[in-house]
Amino acid sequence: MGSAWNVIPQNMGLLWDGLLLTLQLSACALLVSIPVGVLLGLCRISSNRFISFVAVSYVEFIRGVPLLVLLFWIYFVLGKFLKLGPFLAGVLGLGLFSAAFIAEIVRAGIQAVPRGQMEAARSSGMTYVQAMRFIILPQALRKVLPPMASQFITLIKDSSLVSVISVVDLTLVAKNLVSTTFRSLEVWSFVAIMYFCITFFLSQVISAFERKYRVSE
Amino acid sequence: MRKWAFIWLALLLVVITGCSQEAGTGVSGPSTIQKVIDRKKLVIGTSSGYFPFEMKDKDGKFVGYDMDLGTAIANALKVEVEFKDYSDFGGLIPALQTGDIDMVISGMTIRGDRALAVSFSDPYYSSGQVVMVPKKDTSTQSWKDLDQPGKKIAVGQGTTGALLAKQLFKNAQVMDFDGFTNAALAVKQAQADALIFDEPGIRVFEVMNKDSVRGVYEVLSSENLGIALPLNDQATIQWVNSFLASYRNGLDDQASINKWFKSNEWVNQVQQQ
Repeated sequence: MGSAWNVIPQNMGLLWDGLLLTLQLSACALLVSIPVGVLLGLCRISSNRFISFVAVSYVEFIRGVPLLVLLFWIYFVLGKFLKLGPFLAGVLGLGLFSAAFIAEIVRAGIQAVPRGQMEAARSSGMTYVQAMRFIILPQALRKVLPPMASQFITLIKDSSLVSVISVVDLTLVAKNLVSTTFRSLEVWSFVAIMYFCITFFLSQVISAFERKYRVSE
Repeated sequence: MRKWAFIWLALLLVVITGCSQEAGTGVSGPSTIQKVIDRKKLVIGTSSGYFPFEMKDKDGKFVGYDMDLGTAIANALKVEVEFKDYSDFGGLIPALQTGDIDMVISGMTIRGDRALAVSFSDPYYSSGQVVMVPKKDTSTQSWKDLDQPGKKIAVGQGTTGALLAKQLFKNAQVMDFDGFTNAALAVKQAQADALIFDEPGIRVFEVMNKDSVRGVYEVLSSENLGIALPLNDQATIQWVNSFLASYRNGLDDQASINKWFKSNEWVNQVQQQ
């Protein structure tokens, strides 16, 4: 192994802090993106033309803009007026970006529930909201779990982009280590494994969830 | 299935650690300069946006003091020159180590830690680190005024200014941005309270943004800029040093200094952020 790898144990504290910040940032962004995404998804299938137009425009716009550009825009343009710190700008950028994808997942999930379910619920006296709440959404939830899982994993990986607006996440810690030690191979390999461990753990947790749901089906 | 995944991962690790030992042991085979002559092309790594050393003009062509130097080197070797742009200054040394570029001319400060990874030529320019603050900050006279809890100091990730700021500031928070441009933008928009960077870069930025920023020309540390070359490539180091001995303060160099440092006429010809 040689002494080249000493760079990792010597800087484990820094890497650990970076990892924690990455997790913190991803979790906060997730908390922003789930409610916003679900709401947008519901708006998209709304029969109100205006509401669905607004939701469609949002989704289309965000999907057409690279996350890096969105982050710069939120930090340097929006942040100029709102005085957002880099962390908040990062959470907002990641959260709003991810929300557009979650909206699509939710829409697809709801539309995948057979139409007859809604008709049956309505004809047994439920209101639209009740039918959504008790009949459609629980069934849709099962369908959206797998794509949702891959969206969460994407979110964690995308969080590495916030390093450009000075959020000291795992990627920025690694960049700084490389620029002081120049051990790029060792540092980047180790950081890749660290990211992999988080996302692999997450995908295991989610597949456990899926198995549990399958049993109850 | 899972067993195979682990075996594959283990193999990958072995390969990675195997490669690692070779990194940084220097060059074998023909010297870089010989390779450049053979392929008739010199590839120089740079990180544009550092005024007036490396910039892009309105046609996207590289211009600046370092570009003049790079072009003069290529002319002396009678080869073509190609500049490769790295948005992130910290990526230059790794690129040189992997052989993507033949040399780095990017206003790079000669530093001991860097010299463990690459070899430097003799200095070709001397400059210093200074502070830049937003225009509305009229009180700051020295970096010491900024070293207070809650103050934010912007730096370009991987630059000398970043390292210096982390050593100097005990109470203020140092923020790493992707390159000088973004760090300077943060100060211009009052997202950060100050920037630490090389004096020539700050002087030019101040000229271009008179209404929003102000330089504080107290030199925090002075330093020499050198050309980074592959580690221990003696023939190349020798050649570049000999070249610099004849180039420095020669006619071409004087013309370049007059053009980039002693006049501001070029400011309108380059891309501005």
